Amino acid sequence: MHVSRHKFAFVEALRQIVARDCLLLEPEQLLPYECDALAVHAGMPSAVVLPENCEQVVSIVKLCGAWGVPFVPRGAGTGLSGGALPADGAVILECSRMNRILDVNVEDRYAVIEPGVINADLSKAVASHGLFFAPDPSSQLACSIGGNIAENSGGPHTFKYGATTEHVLALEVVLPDGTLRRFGSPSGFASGFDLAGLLTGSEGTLGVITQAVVRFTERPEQVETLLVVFEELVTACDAVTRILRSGIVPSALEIMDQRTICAIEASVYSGGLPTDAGAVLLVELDGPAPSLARHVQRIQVLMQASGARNVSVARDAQERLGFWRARKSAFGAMGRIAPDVYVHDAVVPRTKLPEVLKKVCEIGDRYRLTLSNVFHAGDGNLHPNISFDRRNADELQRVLAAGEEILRYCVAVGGSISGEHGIGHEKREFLRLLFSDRDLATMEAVRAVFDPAKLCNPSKVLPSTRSCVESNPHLR
Amino acid sequence: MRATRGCAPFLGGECSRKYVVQSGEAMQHEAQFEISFLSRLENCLASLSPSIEMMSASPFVEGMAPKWVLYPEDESALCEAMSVLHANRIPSLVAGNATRLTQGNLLRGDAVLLSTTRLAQLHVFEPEEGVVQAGAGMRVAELQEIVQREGWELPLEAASTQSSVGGTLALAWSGASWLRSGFPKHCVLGLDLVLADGGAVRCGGRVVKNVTGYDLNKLYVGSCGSLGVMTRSWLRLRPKAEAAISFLVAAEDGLESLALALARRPTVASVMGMDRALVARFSPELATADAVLGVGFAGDVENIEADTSWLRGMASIQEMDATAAGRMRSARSTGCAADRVRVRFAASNSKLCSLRKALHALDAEVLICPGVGATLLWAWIPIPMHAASAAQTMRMLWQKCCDLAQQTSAAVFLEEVPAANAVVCKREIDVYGDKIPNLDLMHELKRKLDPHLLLNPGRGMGKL
Amino acid sequence: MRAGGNSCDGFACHGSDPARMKKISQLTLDCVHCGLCLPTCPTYRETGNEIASPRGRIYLMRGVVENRIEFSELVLEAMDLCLGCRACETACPSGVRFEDLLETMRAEARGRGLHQGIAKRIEIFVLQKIVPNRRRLRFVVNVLHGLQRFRVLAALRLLLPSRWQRRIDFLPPIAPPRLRAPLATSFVARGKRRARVGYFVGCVLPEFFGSVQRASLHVLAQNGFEVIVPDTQVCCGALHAHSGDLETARELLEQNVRAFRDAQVEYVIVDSAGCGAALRDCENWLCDDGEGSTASPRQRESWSWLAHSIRDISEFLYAQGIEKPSREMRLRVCYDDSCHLFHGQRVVDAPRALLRQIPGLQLVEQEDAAACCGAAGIYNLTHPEMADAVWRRKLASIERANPDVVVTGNPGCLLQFRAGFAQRGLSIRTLHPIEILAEAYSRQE
Repeated sequence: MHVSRHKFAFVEALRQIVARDCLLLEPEQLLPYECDALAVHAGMPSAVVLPENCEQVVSIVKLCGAWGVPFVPRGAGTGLSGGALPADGAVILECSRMNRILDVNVEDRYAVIEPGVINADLSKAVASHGLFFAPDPSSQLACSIGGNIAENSGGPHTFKYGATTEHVLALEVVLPDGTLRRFGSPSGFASGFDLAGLLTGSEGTLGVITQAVVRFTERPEQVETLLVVFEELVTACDAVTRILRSGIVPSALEIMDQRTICAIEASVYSGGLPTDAGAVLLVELDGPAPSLARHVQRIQVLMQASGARNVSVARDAQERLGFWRARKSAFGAMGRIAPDVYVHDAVVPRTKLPEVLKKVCEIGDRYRLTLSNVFHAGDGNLHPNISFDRRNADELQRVLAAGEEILRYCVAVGGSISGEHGIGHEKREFLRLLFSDRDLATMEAVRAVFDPAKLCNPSKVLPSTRSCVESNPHLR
Repeated sequence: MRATRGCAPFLGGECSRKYVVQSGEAMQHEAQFEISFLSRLENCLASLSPSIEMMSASPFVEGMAPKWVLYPEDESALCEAMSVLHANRIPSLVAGNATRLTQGNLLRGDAVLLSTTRLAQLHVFEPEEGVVQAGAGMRVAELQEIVQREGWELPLEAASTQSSVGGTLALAWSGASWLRSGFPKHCVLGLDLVLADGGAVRCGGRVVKNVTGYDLNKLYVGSCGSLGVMTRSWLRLRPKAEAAISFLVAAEDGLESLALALARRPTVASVMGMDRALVARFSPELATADAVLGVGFAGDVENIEADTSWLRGMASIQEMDATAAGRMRSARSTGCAADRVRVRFAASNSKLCSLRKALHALDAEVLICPGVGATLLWAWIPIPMHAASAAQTMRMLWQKCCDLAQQTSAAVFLEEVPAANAVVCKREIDVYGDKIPNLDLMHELKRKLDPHLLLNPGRGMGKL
Repeated sequence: MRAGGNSCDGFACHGSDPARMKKISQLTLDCVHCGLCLPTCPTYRETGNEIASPRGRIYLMRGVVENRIEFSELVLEAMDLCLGCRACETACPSGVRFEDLLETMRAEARGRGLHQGIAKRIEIFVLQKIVPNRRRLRFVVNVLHGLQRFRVLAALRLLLPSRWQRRIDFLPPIAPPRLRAPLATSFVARGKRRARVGYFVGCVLPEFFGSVQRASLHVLAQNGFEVIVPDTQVCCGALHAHSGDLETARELLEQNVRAFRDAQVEYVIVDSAGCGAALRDCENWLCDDGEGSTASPRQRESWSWLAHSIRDISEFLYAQGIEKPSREMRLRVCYDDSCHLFHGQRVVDAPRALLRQIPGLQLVEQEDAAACCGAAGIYNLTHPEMADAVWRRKLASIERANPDVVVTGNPGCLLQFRAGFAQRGLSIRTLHPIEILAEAYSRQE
């Protein structure tokens, strides 16, 4: 809307910055950019720019600043909270072409990368050195690391290795005023405030990442994956609590319910999971070889005592990777159940998993919805997937209402509304469930330091309505 | 209202003497603000609730002492006190148990010391869940003991047994065990704070994975209390290691390579590499070796066995008991000798060698604590101090440190200066220095959250 | 059929077929927009542009059927930029039938008269009038042979702009007509007969890949299979379907079904991955909604029979077991998964397993062996820049693997490799897996 008035001159200026095929303006070209992987929310961008280097990003951001045009950094568009949705006719800065791995430093365990590097590609690039990049969101084959950093993405192995923020050492960022900054250092320590830590997980609202220094993790000496089969979802949750208390730290604890298993097994990613089980629990243990066998055995005994129908250990790497391919395709496989899927991302205290799961299923039933559960049990990070058809307006309403009820319940038991997908466009109003006006005003104040004109990824993260700053003049 | 007021309040007699005797200037300064400060405080005292006990001075403040210390009994009292201080524009120095006051900047004469030491409750500890919510004033050592009884451990290392959780987080205190524990910021799940105007805010939460709103935990942890006063924190625990053992290794040469190789072993939890000079100071009985490594192992029995037998093949080792290990660990936080400043560097492993050489050239005593990929390095750098030229000397030395850090892409942090010249040195140099990048953003953030610059004035803010 | 231009919209558009639109609408619903297909798409990897990705293309299709955008030139370009490698189908957890969608969309474009321009018309003429007719095709190839032989082509080449020269180079040396004589109609099994199989010849394959065909027949016979080569069979129709001409594709398929049914064979063996993939999925051409309703149950049944009888030659031999060649071949061989084997037919391990049975042969893997080489039928001619870009990636990963021989199961890819290596001055040989196997057998004798 800002653009329309002087669109011509603005577009001309953009043309001066990037190559011809890096500027998209036609409605057909823009349409696919109206949403990310959360297709329920959408908004048309006024233009899409594909910068190829940092200097172009600086120029574009400066130009947008001068014209008062909002802009949205975007990676691979695999986000699930509408974080890359172009609100207010924003210009999209699509970082997919900035995808070079600039430096790999094996000794110091870090890589310098551009934001468009695909998560899985980075691990592939250092596999021969026995290293990997630990954050492994399910979309890791497609998602960009810039996006991972913006959202502070998790993944199954976050349970042991920590979310993306634990693997970001330093950032190069173009701030909304067009200045190029470096935060942090390759050692992970900063001189001064930890601004790299603050930028990580800020969902692209504080600046555009143009380079990142990320940390590698050493491949564990040995890995064992247990497939534990349960008749009931709730029993599987109980079993997780027992593992948490055992003193053993698995690298991942994942639960899939029957509906999810069936959808996956029907797909090209089938991993040989039992489709007649109420739920399966994947337990992965890794670490030095000497003690691993003992831990595996202990977990096996523990699982049998927890009412597992069957416990088996993956025979070889192939079977293990098969399990993980299956697990990570769960979201996409939901397309087999219905045309659309709405995935939530609530977190609850891990000990509350059994009761929360019961409640979640009850809510799904009450709203007459097809709900499947696949989640990072070790972190208490639920992903209730609600399948629906967005052309059915009534059903969509029920999906949204059920989602809200689930989130409210999770907050009520001490949880949070997002564990790894981010608040984005989707959940910004729900943030009030967790934070007071003053808390939010503090966040607004922090944002204002970086983006006083509110041009950088507008309408994201923080709630929209009435300005919280009114309550506190100091934060103005 | 129980409050001690007056002009001779210093309980730590020695401290006060140092303060008074060694800085005539400060003395004068004190005399000047005396009247205005007292009258202002008088006003605000009238409105303070009785739950806030005011005491003068503190027995554990090193080097310099404040005139007034506030010990709020709970969060609401803290909010109240801070809003009064805010209304009267009285600056405050924020402290936990005040064990590290010398870490930050100089205490300004008219500031009140705001101690969270009484906010020491353990609010929540769920052994099933592996999380705690602890008051800022709780001692890390005490918390550690409590959680360890239930089979957990807190991945935080404290400066001393008295150090508080709040203080440890505010400084993002790291020691040798950072190899196993990682960065302090990563165990923080959520924080409750009181901002400068007395408003209570929170960020994060109690769950172990959380991306709701900005990750302000990261901003507050390590900000030296300049943005707000922490009152509670949700911390993530992790299962206690099955076994632990420490060894002393005499490294004749190749201190770095052995230290770095050790840091890559899975069960090695901490590595401290010390120069001969440093060894001479802490364990004179070992000073025969050129350099000494203290190595802590933690993990499963079999794995430790594998790693220690690997180490035996590399060097001659000698088991250390807990006391010896503790004494060695204390080296990192021990105060400076009278003529040295302690500076912390954080550098990539590949830069370690050149950094250490450059510091040796400055005649520094060096302690290295390698992690995976990067190493923490503490240097005790000698600084000739004559009262007249102290300021300039300090500035030049700091410039050298900053240049070194720049050359090696390291982060640098000024930890302690000699008590004798604390006033002069601290006034000259902030903990981060005033030449770090992004200082403008830090200032902006400070102004947004503490518009009148009342919290820890000057501390961690590069002379704002 | 004349379209009312591209300003028309959705179902109401002249030349648009409601059944087709409904089918597109249905198939796009399978996509939940997860994005896992993006990095597997060669054109997305090159451009980073969402509309050059499968997800973006599906979004455009959905936009067209929901009347949100016009079926414009740009939309058509986005569809035509697709190489048809089907890597996205392998990546898709939701099972989107992308090729089916794309072909239906192209058919819709054709129906609306959007396919215009000289190049497109030539393409349509060649596909409709020459390719399906063996006599005409043979005539054209003979002419080309003559041009090649008397260096006319080489002279013409010099007159062309450089980016077109490579297109000419793409044409392999054509054997003299006597070496391209039609195959016999049946071959006797050596030793005990294990099964009676049909052999699919294809249209241009006998003209350019006689050696592969002879190798196939030789290896099949060697392993105890009686091979029938019905002379009534025709082109598989894949190229027609890919370009949206489903009508011709269906006609050709009907002929092939009849030819092989009449031959009473157990399996139909195909050594061209592109033809095999198309024949296996031929039921898609029936168009589930509307158009397909004209197909009788008997017709459906016979198409289904053919689809399920198709076997790639490597897949077939591996499944049946082969006589182990005993002679050594000391070669570093890099197997390249052709898209239509890997993504189209899910034949991945069989060719490698066969090659491993050759003593002395060292199989070296390249990075991303399943990535498209850029040949993609006539894509090389229609989108030279993109084809070159895709090829450069493939070339780089092959060069890193540094093999003596590159082996791949699709004729189009073989042409691409040969031309590409020659241009780069590399002495890497390119062979069909069956050729190498035949060589191993012949050394034995």
